[in-house]
This record gives sequence, structure tokens and C-alpha cells, in this order.
Amino acid sequence: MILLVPLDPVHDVGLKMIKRALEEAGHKTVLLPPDMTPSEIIARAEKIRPSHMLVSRTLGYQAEEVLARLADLADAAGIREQTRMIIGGMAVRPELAQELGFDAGFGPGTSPSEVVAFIEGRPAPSAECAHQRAKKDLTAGYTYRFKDESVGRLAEQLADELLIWADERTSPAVERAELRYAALMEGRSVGTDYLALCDEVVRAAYLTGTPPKKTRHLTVDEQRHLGMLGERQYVASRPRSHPAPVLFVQYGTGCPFMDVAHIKAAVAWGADGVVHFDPSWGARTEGLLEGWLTHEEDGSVITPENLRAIRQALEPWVLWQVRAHRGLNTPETVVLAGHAGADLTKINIAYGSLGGGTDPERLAVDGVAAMRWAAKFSMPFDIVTNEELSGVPAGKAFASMLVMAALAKKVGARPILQPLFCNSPEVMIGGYMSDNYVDFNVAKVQVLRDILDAPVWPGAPVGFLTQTEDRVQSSLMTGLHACLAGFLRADAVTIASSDEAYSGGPITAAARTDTLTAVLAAARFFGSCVITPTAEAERFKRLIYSQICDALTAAQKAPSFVQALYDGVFGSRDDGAHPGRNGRGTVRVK
Amino acid sequence: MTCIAVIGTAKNTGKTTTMSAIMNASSTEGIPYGVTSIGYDGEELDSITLLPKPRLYFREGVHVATARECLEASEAGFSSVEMLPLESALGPICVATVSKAGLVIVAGPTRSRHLRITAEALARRGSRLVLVDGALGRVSPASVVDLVVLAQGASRSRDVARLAGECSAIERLLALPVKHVSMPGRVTYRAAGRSVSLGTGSLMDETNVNTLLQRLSEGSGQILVPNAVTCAALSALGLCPPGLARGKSLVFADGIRLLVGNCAERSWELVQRLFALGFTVWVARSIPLLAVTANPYYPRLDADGTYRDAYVDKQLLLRALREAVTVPVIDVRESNGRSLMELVYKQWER
Repeated sequence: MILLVPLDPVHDVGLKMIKRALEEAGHKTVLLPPDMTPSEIIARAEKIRPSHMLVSRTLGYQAEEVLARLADLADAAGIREQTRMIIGGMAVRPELAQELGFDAGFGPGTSPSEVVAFIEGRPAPSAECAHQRAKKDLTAGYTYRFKDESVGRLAEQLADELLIWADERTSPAVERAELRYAALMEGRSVGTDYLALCDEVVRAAYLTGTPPKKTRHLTVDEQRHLGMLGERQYVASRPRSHPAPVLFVQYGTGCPFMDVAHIKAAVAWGADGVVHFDPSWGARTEGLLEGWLTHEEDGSVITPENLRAIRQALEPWVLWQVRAHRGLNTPETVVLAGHAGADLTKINIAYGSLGGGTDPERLAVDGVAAMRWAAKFSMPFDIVTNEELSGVPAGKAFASMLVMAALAKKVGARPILQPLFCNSPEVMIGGYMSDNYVDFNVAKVQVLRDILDAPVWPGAPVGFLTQTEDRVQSSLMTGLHACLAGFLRADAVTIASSDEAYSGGPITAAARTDTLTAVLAAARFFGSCVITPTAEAERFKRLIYSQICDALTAAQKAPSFVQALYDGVFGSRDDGAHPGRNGRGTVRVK
Repeated sequence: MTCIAVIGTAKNTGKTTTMSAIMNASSTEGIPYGVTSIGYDGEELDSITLLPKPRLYFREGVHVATARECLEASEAGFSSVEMLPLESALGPICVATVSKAGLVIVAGPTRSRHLRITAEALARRGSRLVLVDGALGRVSPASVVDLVVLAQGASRSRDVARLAGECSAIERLLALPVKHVSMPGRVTYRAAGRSVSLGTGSLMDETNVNTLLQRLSEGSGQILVPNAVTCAALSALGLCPPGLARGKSLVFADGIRLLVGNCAERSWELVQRLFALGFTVWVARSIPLLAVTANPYYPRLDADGTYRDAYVDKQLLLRALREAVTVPVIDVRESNGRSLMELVYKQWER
């Protein structure tokens, strides 16, 4: 017998839901009227002799005293040995249940099935979920078959040619990646052969122990506390009332300690995965550092020690992406990420060279090597198309993305397509979102789906250039974009914090939780409803498709894929794309 | 082993500050001791007022009983961790010895039987004193301890006279005379020359008191009440015809049971009425009040919806409490706990 006690005369709906769930599970229940005193309740309990007493009450200063009196009276009456006492309601946490003298406490968001599980002595469904939750493989079930044969033929031809071209060449980054891998395998630091391939600032850091400007080594005590933070702060996954795509958030405060704190907060608020952001100077510098390094500006330095510390702090089910996509350390970053246990990385030769500042020839060589390393570590990667933010039309960005996907498939890697959900310059100039933010984004995903059987992960983050400095507006936009991704059955989605675009400085943990809360609330709102785009979406699909075909055809006519990048086939100077200069002239033929 | 509980009349009356004072004094005196709590000690901020809360700092060698989850989250280090067969809302309760000094989150047994098992486990570790921190106005688990310290404070009421009256009532209820009887599991009385059980262990409301009164026969006899007794029940007993009451002994398990409703003044008033009717009122087990600690602090809810620190006149409070009770009244913020330890020594001398 289970005694249900609504101490709160108004908010007893939760208790009624639990009553129904208990009865459906075959338990007998007695629901008391809401206006009984503690002694009347205990007198009833003495007669009924229930196995459990479930009390619901919204808390305030006085309510605590009433609940404490109820538990006290139950103990004094000697019924605690036969009756377990459970408290539920807003603001209830296990710590508060303990203070009030109850055996268990359930707060907001508790499902009736969790309470039934507790009563039956089974692990709570959500806790079970958190512990047994397996990491989701975003690429599972995809064949990478080109459904559009003509586009597929063009993309694969370009990929074949690029592969042959790249295999004849090498770069300092390709060689460093090999040396780094050997050092990691042997558990040692890199040697002088590695340092010979690095820029002076990196070489100096190794030889003199002086870290680059605006970075410093963590003290031994800080390292110890960082380890403790990871060990002691286990975060349970937030139960979802309604399905939402796999949710990624970005971190990169500069400080590994703060990163772990941000990750824990994000995960507690519903994030499924996190994306490591490194400093922008890291992409322009030849060579990666070692040691526990903290950076006083945005971006967390990629070192074996920093990555390991963050890895250790992650809950086992949290997906972890380390980006390698744009700079002079692309293959080596993949090696470090793979060795540290990252689940995902990020590679795109076209974006890195048209929007990321790296020389196209250099990144073509490095990108191919990076994809091979990703395949070796069985680490899927997304092909990000952020060049759209510079003004490159979506179709041109998708054309190079599809070549990258074909290339990845050829080296045994598993790519994920990452179209942007953004109000890009192309969209603004063309007026494609003058009515709504839905049609153009729907068209992007559907075009890609029609061409290739591959996972889709809109990003990064969604809603770029639709958000303002207003945190409410920003969170709402994020929530709606994430729901649109969910409606399109996207495999994952990356979201920003509510102050990301306009923070002008460090991002607060509260701003991260804003958007996570918005996404889950929006998912709850839409449920399994369908979002219907207007007829414009079909027109946009045709537009993007023709851009893809035109770009691939033009690239095929170019002397090589790399030359096509220089020539603006996948994004021209007029579009806003500028082939990068970092690492120019460093590729050599083997 | 002597087990001392620090009980309060409400939240924020100074229980944890009193605990800290006794812990400090015990450490200074070199007395081996163990600590537990019937609630949750470890929040930096009060969950309702969001004002800072005092924390318990543990020195090396002190024994503690707390939920496993709390050990893991505490700043201090521990050795010889032993799990007790007791569950709490925060997981199984463990006994451990502090190997590295620091703050500890203490969340121990919330019920009487579990507290007894926990205190015994702490005693097995060599604790000569077992200190139990109370929670809110909860007192029932203290029915298994040897001595209580009462933390009274303005958080309970800004009315100093009321605070004094309540302390006086608590002292008197805890000082009821002791009658050494073996307590049965149920309320038991004599009727028609034989011992009869009421079928319940507590006197909860007028219904079961009326049943009892209808069955009682005149003349001498004992009524043994092993579990709780509420003000409603005491009030109903007060309606007993004097002829029926005269010569009867009412024996409660201990004074703590009469405090459980958190209405000590009313309970004492009702007990006095029972005396007047002709009952003699006893307890089976004495749990003496060692001292009262006074705390002028209270969280004041301001017009902007924010709680802020506030105080009643400390001297006025101390004077009123000292006039109301016979045991020492201590300002724990001013004392280092030494005076409380001297009271413990006196108990041991007895």
C-alpha cells in the first residue's frame, strides 16, 4: 500500500499522475485529502501501514518546517521502519530530502516511472540511462552512396585526382604528425627532428620552457584540482521529455579548468557533446605545444596534457569533438585528438583555405593526411562549410563538401555533412530569408540528402547571424533552429550560447544553459509536429543544386582541385572567399 | 561513549555553530570524538534564503558518519571507510576517520534506530563523545542520545519572550521525573485488573485517546506510551474526568517525544493540566538538557523579496533566556566551546 499525501492544496497534479502510474504497475494507493495536519497524516499511516508515503509540497520557508515535523512525527511514532518517506515537488533535491528527514526526494522533471522504479527498488530509468548510455555513433547506418549519380561521378573524379596529387606530396605538418604519433606511442616528448619542423615560438617553448605570450603552465596544485574536478563532479544526463537532435555545444575558455566547469554545466543542462575550440594563433603556427597550458584569451591550447585532462573529466557517454579543420597543424591535431580519445574531429580543405587563412595547396596535402589519420583512429569528422559566412554561396560550399565526402570515403573515413543554418551574406543579399528562416535551411538539408546518403549535422552553431545581443531572442532563435534540424531528422546539431555572437569576451556558463534550456523547451513545444516549408523551399533547392553542379563542372575543367580553389571555383574573391597564405610554399614533392 | 545532540527549535537557530564550538573544544581537550548529522550539513548557501551557512571543519583523527556521496564530495581526506547497512536520501551511510583536515559534508541517519546504530559504530572507532547535529526543528532522533544542547534563536521568532517561554517549556519537559519501566511496543494500560494494549504505539489524536479513556477503569495504574504523543492527544487526555485520572501514572518514553510537534509551550501547558487532573506524568528515560545556546540572528525577508542578515538585541535575548531556564545559556559566537565541555565533564563526574 502506498499513501499519497498532497500537503500542497493546489499543486497536487504530480501526485495524481504518480498515483495513476503506480496503479497501472499494480500497486494499491490511498490518496489523502489536501488539508490534513502532520499528526492526522501520521495517525492514518499508523492505521494503513503503507510501505511508502509520498508527500508533495511546493517549498517555502514555512513549508520546510511542516515537512520536517511530518518526518519527525513519523519517526517518533515508530513507523519509519515500515514506511519509507518520499518528498516530491518544486525545488526538492536529494540534499533537501535528507535535511527534511525523508528517505528520498524527487524534484521537477521527475517522471512517474522514476518514482515507480524507486518504490519497486529498481534503478531509476533516467539514472540507468545516464550510466548505461552509450555514445551515439552519428554515422551509423549511412552507406555514403551517391544517390545522385551525375554529381557523385564528378565528386569522385575530383577526389581521385586530389588523392593522387596529395599522395605525391608532403608538408611539415604531415611529417610532424608522424613524429608526434611515434612519440605518443612511446610515451615520450617529441625530439629535435620535430622541433626542426616548427615555428620559432614553438621551438623556444620546448627548448627554454617558456610558453608563448598570454599562456602559462598550470601549477601542480592547479593540475591536481583539475583532476579532482573531473573525478568528483559526475553529471547525470538531463532527461528529455521529447526527442531532440544530439546536441553539441562549443567550449574553449582558454583555461582547462574553466573548460571542464563549462562542459559539466552544459552537460547537466542537456548537452550530449562538446566541441573543443583552440586559439586562432594555433592555426597560424607550425607545431603544437606540450604541457598543461592555460591561455588568458579565448581558445584552449591543444596539447596532449590539456586534451587528456579534459577527456578524463568527461562523462563516459559525452561525445567529444576536437577541431582540426583550418590550420597548419591539421593532421597532427587529428593524431592528438585520436590518441586522447576524441570521438569526432573536423576537417575541410576548402573551408580552411578559403575562409580559414591556410594556403590551399598546403591544406590539400594536410587535409588528405588528416583524413587518413581520422580513418586510422576510426574517428568520424564533420565537413564544415563556414566559408558561407564570408559570402560563399551555399551551393559552391556544398560542391567542395561533397568532394571532401567522396575523398573521405576513399580513405576509409566517415564524414558528416555540416551545412550551416545561418542568415549568410548570400541569403541577405538574395533576400532568401526575407519571409522566414525555414525554407532556405530546409532546402540545404534536402539537397544534400537527395545527393548523398550521409549523416547531416547542421551547425556550427545553428542560427548564425539570426541572433542578436538580446539573450532571450538569441536563445529562442537557437531553440527554433535546433527544432528545425530535429524536424529534418538531422543527426546532430551544434548550438551557440545566448551571448556567443555578441559577448565581446568570455562566455558565461549561464549563457550556455540559456540556449540548452531553449532547445529542450522548444522540442517539448513541437513534439512530433511537422514544420511545413513554403513553396520557396523547392525553388531554393533547385538554386543550390545548380550551384553545386556548376561548381563541380568548373572544377573538373580546372587543372586540379587545388587550382580550382585558387581560381575561386568553390568561392571567389567576389563572393568573399580569399585563398589563405599561411603555409604557402611549404609543400614539397616526395 | 556519550552521545550529545544539538537540537534546534527551527532552521538557522545556531545548531551548526554550536556543533563547531563543541568540536573545537573536544579537539583542544584531546577527547576522541565522532560527528554525524540527522540532516544535511554542507550547503554553502541556504536553499531558501540564499544566505551563507556555517560549515563543519574537521581536524585529523576525528570520526564521521555521513553518506558515501558526501565523503566523495568533501574537501577533507578519509581513511578506514566502513559502510553501514543504512540508507539515506544521499546513498548508503559510511563511517570514516579524517586523515586530512578540511570541510566535510555531513549527512547521516535521519531516524532514531539508524542514529543508534551510527553512534555505536562511531563509538567502536574510539569516540568518547558522539556529536549529532540536528536539522531544522527536527528532534525525534535525539530520543536515542544521552544529552541534548538546545540551540534557540531569533530565526524561530523575533519575540524574545516567546523564545524564553519555549526554552523553559522544553527544559521542563526534558526534566520530567523518571520512572524505570520496561516500555512495551504498544500503548498499554490497566483495565479490569489486567494489562491491555491499545493496538497503537502512539497517542496521535483524540480518537485513540477517547478509546483509551472509555476503556480505563478507576483506581491506580500505569499508562505506558512508547512512541509519539501529540498536543492534540494531550489535549484530549486533559478532558479525562478527574476521578479517572486520579492515581494514574502516565509514562512517556522520554521527553523528546513530547517535543516532536514543535509546540513545546503548548505541550507543557497540557502536561500541567494532566498534573492538575490527578495524573502523575513520567518519562521512562531521562535525556537531560545540558545547556541552551542563544543566537540573535535571523534572516529577514525584505520588501524586494531578498533575505538579509538581521539580529535581535543579543543582551536582551541572553537575559530573557537566562531568566527562563536553570541550565547555562551560552552565546556560542563569543565562546570557544570550553564552557560546554565543562558541562560535559560535570555529567561524566556524575
